[in-house]
Amino acid sequence: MKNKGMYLLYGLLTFGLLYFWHPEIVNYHEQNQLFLWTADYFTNSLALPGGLADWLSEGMVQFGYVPWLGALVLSLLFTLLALATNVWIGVLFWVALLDVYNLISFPVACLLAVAAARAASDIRWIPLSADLLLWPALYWLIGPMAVLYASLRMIRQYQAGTLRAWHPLLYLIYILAIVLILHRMFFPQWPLASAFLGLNYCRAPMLHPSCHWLLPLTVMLAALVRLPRKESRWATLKESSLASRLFLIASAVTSLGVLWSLKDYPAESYEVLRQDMLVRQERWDEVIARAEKHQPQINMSSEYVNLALGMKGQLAARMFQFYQSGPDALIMRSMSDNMSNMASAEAFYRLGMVNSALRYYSDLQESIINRRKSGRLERRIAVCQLANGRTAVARKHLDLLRHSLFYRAEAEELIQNGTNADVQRLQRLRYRTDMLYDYPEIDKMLGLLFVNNPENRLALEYFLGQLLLKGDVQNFMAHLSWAQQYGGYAAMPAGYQDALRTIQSHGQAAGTLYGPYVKKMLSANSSQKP
Amino acid sequence: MNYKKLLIGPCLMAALAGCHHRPTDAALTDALPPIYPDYTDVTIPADIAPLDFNGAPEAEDLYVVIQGEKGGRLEVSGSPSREDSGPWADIDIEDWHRLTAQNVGADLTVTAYMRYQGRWTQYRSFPIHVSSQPLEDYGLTYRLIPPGYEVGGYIGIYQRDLHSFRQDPILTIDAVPQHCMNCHTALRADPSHFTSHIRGEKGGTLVQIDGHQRWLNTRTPESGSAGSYADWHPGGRYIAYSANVAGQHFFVGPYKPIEVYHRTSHLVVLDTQTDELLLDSLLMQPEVLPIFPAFSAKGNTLYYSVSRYCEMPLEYEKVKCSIVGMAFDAGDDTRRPRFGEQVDTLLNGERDDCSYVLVRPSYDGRWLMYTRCCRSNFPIAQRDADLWMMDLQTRRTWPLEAVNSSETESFHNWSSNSHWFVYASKVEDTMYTRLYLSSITDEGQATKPFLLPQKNPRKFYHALFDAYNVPDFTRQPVELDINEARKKFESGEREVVKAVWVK
Repeated sequence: MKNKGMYLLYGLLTFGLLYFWHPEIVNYHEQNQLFLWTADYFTNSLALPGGLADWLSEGMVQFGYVPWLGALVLSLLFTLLALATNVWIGVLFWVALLDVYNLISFPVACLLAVAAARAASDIRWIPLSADLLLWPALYWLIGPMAVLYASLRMIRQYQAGTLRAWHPLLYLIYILAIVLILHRMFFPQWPLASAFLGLNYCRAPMLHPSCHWLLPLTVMLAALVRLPRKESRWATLKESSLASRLFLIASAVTSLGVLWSLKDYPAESYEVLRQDMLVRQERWDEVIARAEKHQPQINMSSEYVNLALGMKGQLAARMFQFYQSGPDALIMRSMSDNMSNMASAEAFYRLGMVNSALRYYSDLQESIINRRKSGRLERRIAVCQLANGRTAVARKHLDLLRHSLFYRAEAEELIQNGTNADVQRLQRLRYRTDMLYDYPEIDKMLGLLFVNNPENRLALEYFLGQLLLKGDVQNFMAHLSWAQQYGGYAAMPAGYQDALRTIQSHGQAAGTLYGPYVKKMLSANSSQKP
Repeated sequence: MNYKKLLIGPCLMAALAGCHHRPTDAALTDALPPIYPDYTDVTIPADIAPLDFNGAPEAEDLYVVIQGEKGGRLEVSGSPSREDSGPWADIDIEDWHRLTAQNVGADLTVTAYMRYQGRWTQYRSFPIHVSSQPLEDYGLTYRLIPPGYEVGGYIGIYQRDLHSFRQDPILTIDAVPQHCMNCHTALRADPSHFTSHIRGEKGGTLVQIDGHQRWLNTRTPESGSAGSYADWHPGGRYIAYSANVAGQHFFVGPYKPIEVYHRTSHLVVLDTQTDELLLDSLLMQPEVLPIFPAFSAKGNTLYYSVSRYCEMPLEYEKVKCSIVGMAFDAGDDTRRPRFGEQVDTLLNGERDDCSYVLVRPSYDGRWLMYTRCCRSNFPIAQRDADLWMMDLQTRRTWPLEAVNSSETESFHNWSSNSHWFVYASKVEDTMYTRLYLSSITDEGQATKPFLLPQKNPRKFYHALFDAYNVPDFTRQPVELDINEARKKFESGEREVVKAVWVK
C-alpha cells in the first residue's frame, strides 16, 4: 500500500478531531439514537432504502457512549473511506462529519458504494448486466449513494475498454425507473426527492445538504482523473488532455465547494454541545472551568453553567460571575427541538421536579426528527416513570434499553429492583401537592419545591437565583433568611452579599456583579417598549 | 456419500422436533390460563383476524386446542417468542376463518396447555362467543401518535384490515413533514367521503368525495379556527366541524401528568357543494363552547357537547359539558339548510357535576353512546372517563360496565351496521391507548371486549410506543392519492370557503 504513513496520519488526525477537538460530535450522535441488538431492530432498519447503511452507522455510533471508543470506531470508518478513495477525499469528508446534522450513514453508504463498485469490477464473473439485479438491491441497502456505485462501475468498465457508448444512458434510465417503482411500491409517503437524495443521510430527512451530492461527485471525479490511459473502441476521454484538465478542474471546484460549506463553522454551537456533553457526564468542574475562559452568550449556556454551579454548591456565590441570559438562565420555556430544552430537563431532573423533567425529556425524545429513540433520554424517562409509580410504562422503556450494549446493566438493575438511587432521590424531593406548571411562575414553583423538602438546597439556590434573574428584589429580600436558615452556609454567600449591596445602593455600588445584569435587563426591557 | 441424505436427515429431525403433539400427561388446574390479551369469554364477529395470544412469559411452550360447538377444531403449537413475551399461539388465518364461519352464533372452546420446567399444565377451558351479528366492514382507521406532551412526534393515519393483520398508512408525517394531522373522518364508515385537517403553517382541511381531493381553508374570521372534530351528514353533502383552540397544561405532582382543554369552540357546517360555511348564532356564542358534533341517524338532529366558557387554565375543574341536540333541516337544491330554533338538553353536565362528551348516535337510530368523566371537554386525558349508553327511545342511560375500567375509555365509534363498536382505552398501562372491539346486545349492553388482534400480541403492544387515536370503522379500504395530497399540501394553495350566517 502506498502512503501508509499518510493514511495513518489521517486516521490519527480524525481520532484527534473526534476525541480531543470535538468530542461533543460523537456524543451528540450517540445521544440521538439507541442501537438495539435485536433482529427486529435490524429488520425495521431495512424497511426503508439505505437501511443497511443506517444500521451499520448506528452500530458504530453506539460506541460513542465511551468517548474514546466512539472516536476510535469512527476514525477507523473514515480511514477506511480514505483508503477506498484517497486522503484528500477523506479530508473533505470531515466537512460532513463536522455538521452534526449529517448522519454517519452518509460516509458508511459512500464507503459501501465504493467497495461494492470495486468488488463488482474486480470479480470478472460479475458482468455489467448483473447490475440489473445488483443495483436495486444496493439501492435498498445503502440508498441513493448507489448512484455513486453505478458511476464508478461505468468508469471501471470504460477503463477496461468494455463500456459501450449507450451503457451510461441505459443505466441512467434504469436507475430512474427503479427508484420510481420502488418509491411507488414501498415508500410512497415519502417525497420523491428523498428517494433520489436520501431518506436517512441527514438527521432531518427532508433536508438534503449540498455536501450530500458534492462529496460523491468529488469521489467520482477523482476516479475519472485517475483513469489510466487505455485504448478503447470509442474515443477515450483520457486521450484528450483537455478533458483530463477539465476533470481536474471540476474536482478542484467541487472540493472547494465542499470546503466553502465550512465558512459557517458554528464554534459557539460546538461549545454548547460540549457543555451538554460535560453535563451529561457530570463533569461539573470542567463546565465551570471552560465557562471561566469563554462562555457562549445564549440561554442554554447559562443554564448549563448554572446547573454545574448548583451541583458544586457554588450557585449562590458565583452565579453572576458568569453570563446570565435573563430570567431564562436557569430554566427555559418549552421548545420543540431535540436540544434546546436539554439543560432545563437536566435541571428539573436534579431539582426533583419529576413531571417537568419527564415532560421535557419526552418532548426532546419526540423532537428527534428521524424517529430514533435516545438512550440518554430513554433512561431518564424510565427513571421518572418509576418515580411516579408507573411501572408498566417504565418497563417499556427499560426493555428497550435492555437490548442496548451500554444501557443494559442499568436497565436490568431497574427491572429487577424497581428502583435505584435516582428513583429514590426523585421520590424524596418531588412535590407533595399537585398544581399546574406555569412558566411565568417558575420562581414560586421552585420555592414550593424547597418548602416541600428543606433539604433540597439546589431548589433553594434555584429559587433565590430565579428571584434575582427576575429582578424580584422584594421577594429575594423576604426569603433571604431561608438561605441563612437552611442553606448550610458558613457565611452569607458572596453572590447574595453582592446582590444585597446592589439592591441597597439602588444599583449605584461600584464593582458589583449583579448591578450590570440588572442594568442590562432594564435596558433590554426599555428597548422592547414601543 | 449421499449428501442429500446428510442434509435432509437433520432437517427432518429438526422439523419433527418443532412439531408438537397435544400434551397427554398435563397436570389439570382449575385456573383460567394466564394469557395475553385476555380473550376469555369475549364475543367476536365470525371473520375477525385470528385471536393470537401469548402464554405466560415464564412458560417454555404453549399448546392450544380450539373446538367449535358446531364442529371444527384447531390445534395450534406455540411459537417461541424472543424476549419475555412468552410463547404465542400463531393461528392460521384461513383455518380460523373457516372455524369461526362454521360456528356463527355458537361458542368456541379454547383449551390452553403451557409447559413450565418441562411439565405441562392444562388450564380450565374458556369460551369465545362467535356472534350471529356480522361485522361487515373492511377494517378500522385510526391515528397513531406518541402520547407525549407538546411535541407531536411521528404521527400517521392508518387503516387496518380487521380480517387479517394488515395495516397500511393513509397519510403520515413523511408526506407532510413537521405538521400535525387530525384524524380521518368518513361518512359513517364509508370512505368514499372523508375529511381530515392538517394543522400548522401549511395546514388545510382535506375533503375527498368519490376520489376527488380538495384542500380547503375552513378558517374564517367568523369561525376563528379551522374545522377539526367532524361528522358527516348522512346525505354526504354537509360536514359539521367544531372549530376550536386547544390548550394544555401540565401538573407538577405525582398523580396526573396533563390537562387538555379547549379555550374556545364553535360549531360550523360546511356545504361541500357550495363551499359555504354555514353559521348559526346558537353555535357561535362566545360564552358557550359547543364541541364534538354528530348527526343523528336520519340527519335531522345535530348532537353535540356544550360547556360554558371558563377562564383556562384557572377554571379547568369547572368545565362540565352537557349533551344537547338541535334540529337540522338539510334543505334541498333550492333551499339552504336550517338549524333549529332551540336546543334540547339530553344530559346536563352542570346539574350532574360531570362532563358528557363525544356523543355518537348509532347509525340505526337506536342508541347514543357517549363518554362521561368528572370534568373537561377533552376526555381522553381524564382517567375516570367511561363509556355510557342512552336509549334514544326512552332516554334511559347506563354505563357500559363490560368495557369500562379504572382508566380512560373514550373515542368510540360504531360499525356501519351499528352492532359493533370500537373504542380506545388506557386500561393496560394508564398511558398508551389501545383499541378494543365490542358488540351491543338487543338490550343495549356491551359484550366483553377484545383487544385489537395482533400477531405475537404481547411483543407487539409492548414494543409499540404509539397511542391509538380516534378509531373508526371503514367499509372498504380508504384510497387516497398520496402524491396528489403531498403536491397540494406543499403548494399551500387552499380553496376558500365563504362564511354564511343561516340565522
